[in-house]
Amino acid sequence: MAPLQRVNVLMIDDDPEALMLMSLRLNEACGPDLRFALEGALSLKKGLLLVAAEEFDVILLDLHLPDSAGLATVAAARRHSGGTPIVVMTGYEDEAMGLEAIGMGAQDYLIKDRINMTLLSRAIRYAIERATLLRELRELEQLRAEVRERRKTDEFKDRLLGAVSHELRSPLTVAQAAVTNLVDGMAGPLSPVQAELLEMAQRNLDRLGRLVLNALDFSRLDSGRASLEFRRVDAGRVIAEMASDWRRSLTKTLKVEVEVEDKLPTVRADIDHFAQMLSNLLDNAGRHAAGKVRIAARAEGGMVRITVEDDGPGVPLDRSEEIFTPYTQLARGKGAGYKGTGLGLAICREIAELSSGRVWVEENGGPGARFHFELPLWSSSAAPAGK
Amino acid sequence: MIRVLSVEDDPDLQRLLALALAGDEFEGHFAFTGPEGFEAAVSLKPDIIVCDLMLPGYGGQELIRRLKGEASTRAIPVVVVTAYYDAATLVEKEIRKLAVIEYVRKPVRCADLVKLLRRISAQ
Repeated sequence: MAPLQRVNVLMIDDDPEALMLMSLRLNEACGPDLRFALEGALSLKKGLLLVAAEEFDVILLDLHLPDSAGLATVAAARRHSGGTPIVVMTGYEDEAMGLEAIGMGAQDYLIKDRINMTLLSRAIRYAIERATLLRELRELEQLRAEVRERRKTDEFKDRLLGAVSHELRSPLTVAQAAVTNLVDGMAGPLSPVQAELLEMAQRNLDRLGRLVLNALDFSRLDSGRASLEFRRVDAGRVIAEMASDWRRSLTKTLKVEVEVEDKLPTVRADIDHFAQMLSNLLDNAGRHAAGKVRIAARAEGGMVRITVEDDGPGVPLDRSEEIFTPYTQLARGKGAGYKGTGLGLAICREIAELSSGRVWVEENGGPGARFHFELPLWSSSAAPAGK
Repeated sequence: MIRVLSVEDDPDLQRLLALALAGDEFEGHFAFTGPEGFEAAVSLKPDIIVCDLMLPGYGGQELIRRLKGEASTRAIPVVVVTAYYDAATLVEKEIRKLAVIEYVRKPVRCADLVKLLRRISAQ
């Protein structure tokens, strides 16, 4: 135990002589590292008032007071003493009550007639030590409760995010369907201005969808609480579909080349997140490209490598890692459309890592940015050996 | 006349599909929950069923399972409409086993869907 400078003792006892005697004994019990300061109260009520007003290290409690008797005194003192240890003082004839008092939360008991200096000093020290331990235990328990609570909150947040994500996507999908079909000419031919305005709505609905998805997903991926479902995915088909949707949403004329290797093997991926990763890379390429974007996929070294390449300003050599951290954005070329969230590549990195793959940008210093990402082959990751 | 039953809980999407199926070529029927869809399929015997995966009551997957378990509806081709890419996975992994022949992604492009319905009906 660390050396005590000063121990504040409150003694609640209706016998002024006993108080005086205790004061003398405590003075004797003082050592080089220990000093006792005693305050007395002649009734329980006065004692509890003092407890409320001051900090005590220990309370010495007589059980027979003018305003309270027996174990009720212990109960009342316990209720009002916070964590301050209580040492009960009993008469020789009611030692049993001392034991009961301990059962009710008192730290120790002393038999009045047998109190000597050593016993007293030790009882006080032990009482304080035990009370400290108890307090630490309670704090630990509280900490554990907080952790449990926190975990519950996290689970709730996940469910909420999932629900919000679904609730946001549903109306978005309906709006997209309405606008897309108008653009397709379902309600008859459109004038050039009508078409332009509807395409504007369509583009921005797509963008809103991507932003919502990224923001919701990032919080889940980042906290490690997203659950990816890995299945067998035909990467070629996803690329073809995504690329065709993306081309339709472009605001500028770009030459788009898609080169998917013949008989591209299937990959092990979470298809939603794979599509999201590709969508983010295509979105970046579309924003930065000057006139051309190339999308390629081929098998290489047990992985399928997908490359998205644009002819924009490219990525400076010293920033090829930094761009994968959240909220990093490169300065845009003049008039190059809307800003992203700064989350797209960070999400790509998270997804790639969770998928046992990787994503990176070729260090060429620009111009032209060439992003690659690799996903493991289905055959090498999941199928039994030999097949 | 191609009789199409659409099972979808979003009234706006149902309306959109009704517009797409307007005219002499198709006869559209609409149900809004899994159980409603099943009952309608049994009583109407449509040529094609178009269904969403997320439905009140029970979902599209369960609906398809029930349709395939019922002699009178077993042979009716089913087109699954789903949001985003979960479609591809689900179709490939589980629903394909249940003989769903096509899936369509949201947002549904009506022109593509109509073409698909014609193709299925011609088979």
